[in-house]
Amino acid sequence: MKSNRLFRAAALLCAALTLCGALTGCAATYEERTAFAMGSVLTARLYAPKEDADLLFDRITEKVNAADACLSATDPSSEISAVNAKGSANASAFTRKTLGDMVMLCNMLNGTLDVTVGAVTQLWGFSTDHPRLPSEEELRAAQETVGLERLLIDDVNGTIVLGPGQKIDPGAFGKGVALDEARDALQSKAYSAVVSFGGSVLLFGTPKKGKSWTVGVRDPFSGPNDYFASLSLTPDKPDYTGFVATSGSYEKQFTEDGVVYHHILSPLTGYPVETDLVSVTVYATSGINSDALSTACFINGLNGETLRWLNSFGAEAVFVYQNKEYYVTDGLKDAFTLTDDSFTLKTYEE
Amino acid sequence: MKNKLKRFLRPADLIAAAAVLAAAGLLALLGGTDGATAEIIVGRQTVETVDLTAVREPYTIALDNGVTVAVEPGAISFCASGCPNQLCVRAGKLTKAGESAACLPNETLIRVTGRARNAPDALTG
Repeated sequence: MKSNRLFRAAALLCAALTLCGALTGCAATYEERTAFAMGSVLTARLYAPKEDADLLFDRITEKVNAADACLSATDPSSEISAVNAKGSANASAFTRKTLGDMVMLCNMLNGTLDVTVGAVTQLWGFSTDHPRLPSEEELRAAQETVGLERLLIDDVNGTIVLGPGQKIDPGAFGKGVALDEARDALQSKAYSAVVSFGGSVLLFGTPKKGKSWTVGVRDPFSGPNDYFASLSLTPDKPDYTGFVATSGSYEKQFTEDGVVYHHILSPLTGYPVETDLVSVTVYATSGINSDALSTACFINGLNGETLRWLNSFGAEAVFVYQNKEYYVTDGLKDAFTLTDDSFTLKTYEE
Repeated sequence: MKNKLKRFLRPADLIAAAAVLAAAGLLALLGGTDGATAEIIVGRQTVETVDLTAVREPYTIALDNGVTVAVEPGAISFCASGCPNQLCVRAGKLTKAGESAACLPNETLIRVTGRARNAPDALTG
């Protein structure tokens, strides 16, 4: 009788523990690491033992810093800064190849992005502590230097040659390239991971078999820790990797004579793009694509051409408007959950 | 067999099982990390860990890089920094698990550790 009671108590305890485990999700353990790179916060959540997590994060930061040493337009010792300063300079195979990828994307996006827009972005100074409204004359002169056809990537001599006065600004691609590098570091060990880099995200593997990652989409009208929706994402074959990037006009801006100027410039005008959008989030299979597409979609707005771009890159997007309307592309609708019902769905028909 | 089961599981057991299930459900609903601890990270180094539940009176922590962090019961924030745009100070108080704020020029991050229940794995924007 007594053993029966004991057995019953044990059975109930087991059931309770199992249920608690099931209901609380029994989260897999992970290691979290943080560093500063490229003027942003780099955070990795690694589903790996401590020793491997340390090793992987060292590799990730090394790769990201190496990319920055090549591509930064603000670090005077980078390869791109040398090219910008001299108009022509030697560049590593990585820099030439990555710049080539950027040029290809600019062409595919029909000139909505232009990596030779550096002279214009330097005038605005959004990456400095003192952004300012340039004069029309200054802008006109800087605009004349913009043009992919005057940029030469010379793989025979290992150099990059710019047109007169031309400067490269990889800003619309940089974080994406860095996350592609982080993905390469992670591939050496098959641990799942989430890497966040200044608002762009790399999803690698899955948090647990059969589970998805969730990525909150920042509420453009609230603080940096607030989100208005979440995306439930499961990176697919072949490499189980997904990238999420957001371009938002709230990121960097200043006010002059009562006018707010944001940092997303149109390469056609040299001015901040005039739009009723406030942010665009893109989910894609590479970092550079998600980064470039989020900016290009913001500049081009929601239209047939933009949707065709997304389709051709196998990417999906969330568009958020100043009136708190949002639009989600078809492939992301099932993954999208609205968490703030002050936002409303926008109807769009091509 | 049926009798054996009946003998083993009495009505009182079923009531106990229901109570255990309810308790487990409640635990699951109320569970998750409550954001009790905050970290101050400079570069890649955690320089200070604060148990926010143990804070009785507000105080400040002056870091070597010129940044000052304010701590009060249940909250942490940047209160002074030599950086030009003061975005870190404007980020306000962090109270919930998973919240963070950074002073990029001074490579300083403050965050409330853990994850709130149902919090996303990452934020984009």
